[in-house]
Amino acid sequence: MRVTLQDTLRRLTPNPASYLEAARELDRLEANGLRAVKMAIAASFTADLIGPYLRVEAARRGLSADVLFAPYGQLELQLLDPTSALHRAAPDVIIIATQLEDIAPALGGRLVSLSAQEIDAEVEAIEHRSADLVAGTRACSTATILMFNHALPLVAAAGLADTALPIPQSSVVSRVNDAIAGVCARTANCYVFDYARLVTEFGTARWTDPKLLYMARIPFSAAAQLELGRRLARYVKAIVGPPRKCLVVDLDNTLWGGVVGEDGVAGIKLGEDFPGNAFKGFQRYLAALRARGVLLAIASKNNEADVREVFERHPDCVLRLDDFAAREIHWRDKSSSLAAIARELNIGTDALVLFDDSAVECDWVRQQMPEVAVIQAPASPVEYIGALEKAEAFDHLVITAEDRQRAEQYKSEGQRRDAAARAGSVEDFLRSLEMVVTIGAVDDESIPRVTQLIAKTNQFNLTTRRHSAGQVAQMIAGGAVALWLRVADRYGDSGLVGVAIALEDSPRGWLIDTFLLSCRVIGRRVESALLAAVAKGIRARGGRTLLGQYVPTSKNSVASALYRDHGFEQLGDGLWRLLLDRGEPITPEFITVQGG
Amino acid sequence: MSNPSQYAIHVIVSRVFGVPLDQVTDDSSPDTIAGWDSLKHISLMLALEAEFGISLTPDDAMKMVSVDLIRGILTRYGVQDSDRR
Repeated sequence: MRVTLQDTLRRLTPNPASYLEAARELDRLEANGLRAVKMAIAASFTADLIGPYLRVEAARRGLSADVLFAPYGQLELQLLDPTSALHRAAPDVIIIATQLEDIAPALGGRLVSLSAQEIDAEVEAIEHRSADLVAGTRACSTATILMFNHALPLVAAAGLADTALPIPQSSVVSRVNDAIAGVCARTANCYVFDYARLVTEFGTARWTDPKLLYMARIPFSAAAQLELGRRLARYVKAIVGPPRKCLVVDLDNTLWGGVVGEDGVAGIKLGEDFPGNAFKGFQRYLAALRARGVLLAIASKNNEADVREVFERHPDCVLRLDDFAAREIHWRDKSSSLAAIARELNIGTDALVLFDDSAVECDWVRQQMPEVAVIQAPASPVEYIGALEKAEAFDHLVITAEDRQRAEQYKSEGQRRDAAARAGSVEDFLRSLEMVVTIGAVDDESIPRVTQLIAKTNQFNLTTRRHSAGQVAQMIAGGAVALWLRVADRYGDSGLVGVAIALEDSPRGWLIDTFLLSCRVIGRRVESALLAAVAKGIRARGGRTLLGQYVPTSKNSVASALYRDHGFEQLGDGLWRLLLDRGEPITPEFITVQGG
Repeated sequence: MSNPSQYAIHVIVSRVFGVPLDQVTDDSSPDTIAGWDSLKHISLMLALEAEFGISLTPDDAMKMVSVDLIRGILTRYGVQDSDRR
């Protein structure tokens, strides 16, 4: 009998034997269909036991994690030496895991006898060591770095009197964690692994097993090892992405209890008492998702007038109708609603998550659109938030300014569409937008957003090369012309929405390795401005020949004519050439260009 | 192999070390099973604890260096034939 990955994962039980067995079966399954991710862990303690949990939990998230554990306690030896076993493995993700007890024992039991100055010095020492480890790792590797922060010790140094200390231990741990967060924020492609939160969620008392700690320097119990493996796998999934972009919700028995068409606005359950408060809480949760950049949309079989009345008149309705970037409220089938939402928002249907209370609708969508993540609402509204959280659909390690503004931007997008409907020709419409394009060189400040776009842009992306922040930084250091593009118009600021990277490929000329635009600005002709800026950039470096490349995927046909439309000649193999002495790309006169 | 609890220990040992069940005997030990190193020994202890719902002491862990010795220790925790899954 052939064992499949699904069989293996289905048989799992929360027992070390079960995970060890499943991890071995994963090794045996050739071509398991999972995306390979190489990971390396350098820890101040014995981390090896989480290996099987990490490998199996990663597989449950579609990833084949190949995990290298550096010998414990060799942080500097492994991370700062480009020839170490860790770096020789060329990992995609490097995890730096320390325990406060290992790196700053004084902040443990002896804390009570330390002066404020001594505590400052300890915190500073951790900050410096963390900064050195991260910078040294970055110098050797372009991998994404995850750095553990620290949990509160199980036994407080001053016991019940901790909060009465001049500087309580809990404050010291917070300061250490803030320092680590600062180090990570200042380093490209480096993030905190929030160990403190994980331990708190699980319970500090259940987290450690003193027997394991003293016998084997393992700071987690058997159950905690599973939780840690699971959380690390979740981070790695968030790193390799791409995340879902839009949450589509049903209305009746989802945003409120009851059916508005039958119960009326006054009869639906939404308010301060159970169960209305659970629905209100769920709406607040959705508002928070929206604030961090998740698009909300409605797909509901309903009368639009009834629905509008709830959003406009119900005093306890937290969300407003225009909080939803797309709305499909009618009696047509749900999968066509989802397709319409994706079209309207200019995203793939594989970026959608559906949350619906109807088993029939959920099954229908699963059959019709297997790429959509479908979450059936649990029986009780008190479980709704938990069900969505458990799906891990919207995990991001950073929230950029663009993420925060996204919801508003899509609102302006709606206004733009209205203007387009009024304008006579496309060009009249584009002129009416009064676009201002700003172009600048990619730098430390812009690299997180640039990398985010590189990671998730599928449509207007000429080569779909998923460079990490480290790789982009390396290209820039090697002399590449790397530009970002921002677009603003009379309706609002779309933010940083374009990236181009050109590398010298002598003697042939300069090759445009990466050229992409966010779906938000497709069709606005801003690509001409970006291409013109690239040409200008390479001219400034003495380049005379621009080479473009188009690598077709199932999603990027919208970008296929870029080079033809800008006067490049076709060389074959998807390569295009423009001799700059014969002409440069021209920016349409209705776009104002700044910088570049 | 007539004692079911004995069999349950064999299954755990087989699953933890990745050794075919028919190669696990009462005499199996770090000397006969190649992957039985100190770290896997910890995994074995945790697997036994999870399987039988018990908490072993560090002393137990140090002494359970063969299938036969494991059975002796588990008996003291009241692990009986009926404890088999």
